[in-house]
Amino acid sequence: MDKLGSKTIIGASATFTGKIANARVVEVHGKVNADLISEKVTIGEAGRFDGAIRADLVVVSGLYEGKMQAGSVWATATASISGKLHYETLQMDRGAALNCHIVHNWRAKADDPEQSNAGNSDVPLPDASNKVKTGTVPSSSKKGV
Amino acid sequence: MIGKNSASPILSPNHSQINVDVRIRGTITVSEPLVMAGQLDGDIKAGELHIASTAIVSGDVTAQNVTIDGRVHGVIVADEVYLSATAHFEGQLNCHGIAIDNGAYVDAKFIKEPVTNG
Repeated sequence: MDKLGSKTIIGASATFTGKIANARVVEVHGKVNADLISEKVTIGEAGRFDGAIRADLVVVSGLYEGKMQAGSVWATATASISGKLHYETLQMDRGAALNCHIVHNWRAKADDPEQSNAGNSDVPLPDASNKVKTGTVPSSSKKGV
Repeated sequence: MIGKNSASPILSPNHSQINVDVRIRGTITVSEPLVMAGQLDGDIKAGELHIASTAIVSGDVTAQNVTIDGRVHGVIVADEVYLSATAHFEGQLNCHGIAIDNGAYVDAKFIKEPVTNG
């Protein structure tokens, strides 16, 4: 299988409908209507993808419509994305068209819904205020240890 | 970070390939060559089709030229079919011309007809 490399390619003339699983690296240059879980997905300039993608890295140069959940997303100048975009890092080239619902750090939010608003609280946390009050007796705490 | 390690000119190859460990449920339609090395539960329509030795296809295959090294279970409709020594084929074969290597496992009904498609 050396000549195949490690990629799965949907060529320019190909039309694919269905579900793709277990593919590591996928290149789409044709029309795909599918749900895909992968590591790296590339949608070429002529490519058109409809459906859900869950991947570590998605490079979009063509048309995408659906729900994308990705670690890194790179939308090149010819990209057009609609639907939902969940990402951790996003790179957009000048000219890229995003017409979608965009959510940052979706993984963290899914794990812990309170984590997202923990950073902007002006009120010090109860632990922190206690430390200030008890800070006058550092020697006593040493004795305790 | 993304830009550095990704090849920016994204070339569009005409051929398609489905890799070894890929599992697919659905339909593939291609007019250019297709190399199928993964598992497919569904139909293929292609011009030139190579079913590699690691492939397992359950479904109907329609193509002009088919080379089979792997497993196929279903109906093949093609002009020319080549079953290599590692091929395992069960089903029905509608074709114009056929070649079967010594060692190929074939359990099929053969129907000779001049089919042109793909």
